[in-house]
Amino acid sequence: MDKKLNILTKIERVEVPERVYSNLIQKIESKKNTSSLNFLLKAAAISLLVISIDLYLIDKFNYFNTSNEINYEIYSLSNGLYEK
Amino acid sequence: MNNKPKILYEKYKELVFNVALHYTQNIEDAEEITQDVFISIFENIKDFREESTLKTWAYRITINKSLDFLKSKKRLKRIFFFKSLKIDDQEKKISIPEINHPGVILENKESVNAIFNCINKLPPKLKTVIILLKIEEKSQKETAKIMQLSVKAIESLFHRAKKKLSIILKDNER
Repeated sequence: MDKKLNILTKIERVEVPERVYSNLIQKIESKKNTSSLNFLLKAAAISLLVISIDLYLIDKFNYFNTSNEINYEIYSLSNGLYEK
Repeated sequence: MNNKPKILYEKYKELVFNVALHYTQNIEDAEEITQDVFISIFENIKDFREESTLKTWAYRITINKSLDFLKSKKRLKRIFFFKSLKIDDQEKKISIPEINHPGVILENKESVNAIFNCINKLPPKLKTVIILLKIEEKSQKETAKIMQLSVKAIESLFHRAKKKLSIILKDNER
């Protein structure tokens, strides 16, 4: 087995093609762009979430106000406040 | 980009590319691994603790990236194989991995390819031991440092690798 494996020592060193470095730089740049795009997407998602929570709260507050007004009217009517 | 990454690249490009080539035996795959290794080196150089040399660290990253690459390639091949089974039952051929190591001289090509065919069937640790000891011609001590194991463990791994290789070789000859 050792004899068979010794043939592996005859494998020569191979030079690195020039294109590897330029492709590497391209890959790094595209990775940077992707990460900034990811940041923008995350920011947009958070803003949407905040806006929808705001809208929900405004809606809830309006309902609370109107239902309070109705309650007050019922209270006024039942207590004869309107009769005066 | 400042000058430091370029200096690092120039210093270790050959090491990284050749080790990746020993794992994949294919230029395109080795190029892809080399790029991934250097991205990882540039990203993590700040966290590099000088417990080992930069060279040993580069070896470790290259080995891990090469093994990850081969694992994902194997997974993809399996998916394509099952897809082809669904599409056409008659076309079920298991593709033999293509070995095209540019560092092998023509007269040795046949015998080296036969050995590579067997090495590719070994578990990752055994394959790494063979690559480091036999192709990279590292000493047992250096191999132990790179693989973060003891010299005794390397000895035993190498013994197991040879035993397994001879079984696979015999199987292939049948």
